[in-house]
Amino acid sequence: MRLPRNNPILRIAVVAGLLALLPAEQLFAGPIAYLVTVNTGAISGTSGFLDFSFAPGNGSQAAFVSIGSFIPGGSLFGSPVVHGGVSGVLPGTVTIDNSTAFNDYFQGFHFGTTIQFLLSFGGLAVTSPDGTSSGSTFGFGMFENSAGTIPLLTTDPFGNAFTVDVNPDGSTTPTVFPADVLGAPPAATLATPEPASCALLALGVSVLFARGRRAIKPSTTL
Amino acid sequence: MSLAVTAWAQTPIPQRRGWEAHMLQQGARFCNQADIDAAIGSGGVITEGNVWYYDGARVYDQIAVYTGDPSWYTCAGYSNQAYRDWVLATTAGAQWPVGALGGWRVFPDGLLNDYRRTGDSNSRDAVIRLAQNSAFAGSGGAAPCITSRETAYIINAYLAAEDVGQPRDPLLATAVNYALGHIDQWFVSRTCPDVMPFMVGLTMEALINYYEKTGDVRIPPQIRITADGLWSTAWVPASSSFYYESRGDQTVGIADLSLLIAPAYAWLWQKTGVAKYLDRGDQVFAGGVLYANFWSGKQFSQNYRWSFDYVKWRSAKPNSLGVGSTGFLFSRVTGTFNGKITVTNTGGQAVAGNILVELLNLTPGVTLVNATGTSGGTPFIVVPGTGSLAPGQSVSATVQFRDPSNALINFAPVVY
Repeated sequence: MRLPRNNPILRIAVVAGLLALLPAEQLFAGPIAYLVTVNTGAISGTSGFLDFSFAPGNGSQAAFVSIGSFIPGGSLFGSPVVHGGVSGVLPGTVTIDNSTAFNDYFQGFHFGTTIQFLLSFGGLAVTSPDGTSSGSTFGFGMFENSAGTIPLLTTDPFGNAFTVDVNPDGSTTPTVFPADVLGAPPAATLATPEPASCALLALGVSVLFARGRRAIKPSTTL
Repeated sequence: MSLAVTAWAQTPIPQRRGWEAHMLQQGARFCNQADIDAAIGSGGVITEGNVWYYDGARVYDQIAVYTGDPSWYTCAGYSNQAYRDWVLATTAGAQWPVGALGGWRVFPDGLLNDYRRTGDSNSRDAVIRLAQNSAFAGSGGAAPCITSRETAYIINAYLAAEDVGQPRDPLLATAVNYALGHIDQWFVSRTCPDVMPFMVGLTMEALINYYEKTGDVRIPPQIRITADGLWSTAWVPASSSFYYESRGDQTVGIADLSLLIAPAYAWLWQKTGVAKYLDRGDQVFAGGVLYANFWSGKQFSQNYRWSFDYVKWRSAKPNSLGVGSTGFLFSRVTGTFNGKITVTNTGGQAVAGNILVELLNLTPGVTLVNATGTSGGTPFIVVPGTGSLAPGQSVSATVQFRDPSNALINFAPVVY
């Protein structure tokens, strides 16, 4: 079957529909997916950089995060700067693992009013957590300069608009930071879909992840 | 990455029965007022080969408490009165430290116990004299490692003086810094020409005493360095004891002095739950009990001065504190890898005091930028805002690492 190429949400729905007969509770044991919406209205029309990063802690289990269903709202520019365990290219699915200390995808961007993407976590740390090791952390930030030293729309001193910790028990914990020191709401909102739809969504996305990873090989199609 | 931690199961203390038997037999043997009075008193010190030396009053007080038999206080009284008479006579009228009250003869704890138990103001005054008029009272000890015992003892004296109502002596901080310097000379810079393990034990005793009263976060990692250093350099397995001094025969141990050292291992085990300290402490203690000779009351007091704390700490359920971390995300803003370490009380008892995490075996080239301090080159961090950690409760601290080579950041945490 050939999936629609230009509408990632529709692709998710199609794949999810194909696999909907599987029990959802076996497919989605915890909040491993977030629909992320970033309000960039305050900087719309400007250019900057997006930063996606995923890092292990002290002796963490293997894990990965996928950024999919990317709806930019603005436009990408230039080539991404990539470090460590990263595969894929935006606006397609980008997968970042925790295999090195610095796993990072840094991309030039013309900001529009919003950015949206689906963030999903996987790997042993999520599917078979040993409960005794440390977690891993995903971070998303926006920056004014290519050096990544001037953060946008966050009060986090390290420059993240939000982070998501993958905890040692396999659960996840999001933290969003206020957009400015005056207490403006966080630029990012992380929504966890209702369990039933979330299961389907995650399932669909997981299939797309697999496809996205294979897509690194030019000849692979679903 | 972590150090082996022992699951709590109350195991018998090796040779505890022997320790108790010696306590009763030898305690009775050296509880001799005439002998004690002949050894020390207002007329001076005749011999140190007696139970007063190394604080016989403290020893007998502890026996009384341990056995529940108040008749041992009589023995404590013999030693206390004779030693007290000497302290008061030697320092009578002195407005400054006097050399005649040598820094190696400073034993405030028996006096303190007596003052607490009886209210005798002479015992209180003697404690104060030790803190103000003994040889090193005006300097807080000294920097060279050869003066470690005097420095340790003056720490004890300053602390005891506080316990009888004196304000904190500003030289306490000086003395503690000197003692930490001695540890550096022994086991970090290794510049001390002669390491004597029993004196190392006296320093650990004083610093633990100081830590229990002040919570100075520098102390636990220094005790670890000291205990590890002693074990790796001075333990003689064939003798089940430490050698006497590094300048001497390092192939032969001297068990008479082991119980001046063993409690530090039990304290570390109680604080950290790390199994090797339980094992090492048991070896030191058992060797001391099995092979010590009680040539005189001096050896008896050396064996029972601090070993009650060994039994106490060894018998108590150790702290059980698990350590985890988030991922350490790189920030281009700060140029550091940042995250949190979380300490969880996985035991059944509350843990009081500052929670301190030491990062052993940190990946080479990686530095903890926001370390509270370092101990022998190992960074440690205090988890803020913890007065007491209830069972199941967690606390976190932000950590920032500099990692120029982007190597995986790993370490073996030890929590105190």
